Amino acid sequence: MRRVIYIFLLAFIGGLLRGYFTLLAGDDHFIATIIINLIGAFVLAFITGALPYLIEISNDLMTGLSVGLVGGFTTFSTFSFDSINLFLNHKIGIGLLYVLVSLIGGLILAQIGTKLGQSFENKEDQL
Amino acid sequence: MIESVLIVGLGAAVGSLIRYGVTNGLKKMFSKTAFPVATFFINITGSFLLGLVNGQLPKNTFILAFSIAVLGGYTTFSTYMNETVQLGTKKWVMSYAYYLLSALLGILAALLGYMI
Repeated sequence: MRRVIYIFLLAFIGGLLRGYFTLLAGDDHFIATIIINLIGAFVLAFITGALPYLIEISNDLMTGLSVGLVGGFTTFSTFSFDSINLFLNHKIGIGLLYVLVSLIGGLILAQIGTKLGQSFENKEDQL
Repeated sequence: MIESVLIVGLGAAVGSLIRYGVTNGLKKMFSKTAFPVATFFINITGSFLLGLVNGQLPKNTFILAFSIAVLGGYTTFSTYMNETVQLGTKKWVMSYAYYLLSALLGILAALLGYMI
């Protein structure tokens, strides 16, 4: 039950942040979605690797942070729908750029986050 | 303005709980496969439904805004990227298949939902 409450509350915060960034971006909201998804890809990888070595954290809270906070912050459906919206509005170049930056950037940032997160694990081993 | 941000927050909370439930259910059903079936299913169905609600529901209504918010929280980009990285080290063919098929089928599903 505690896990469910953590997911709900932290996803609420993640969603608020996404809503706020999207609002700030106004008509160019797809730029906000790119930035949100790239940040989220990095943060998820980093906290999954590093957080258990930095602070004492329960599994319930860890799930709340990853599934709720970061999962609620990032979005795949808006990525898909923004893409087709750009294509259907004949903004083919921007649409392709949107897809490529999201996919390639997301993978690179998740990779960097994973490596950085693992460095905390390795530090622990050396002590 | 504040209302629209609150709707995204509330929708994300509801959507994330649905994602958590669906993920647990599908992980049990597909416990033997390394392919991230749960996130794959979630992101493609979520994209389809987002296309569908945008095509079907009247514009500028609470129900549309809330549906978009729930689907935004239901789907996840961060887990999709991280599962691709995790598969990548050992199962690179599966990793690339997951990576490319999610994007391709997600976009096609959104288009299909919108066009229906």
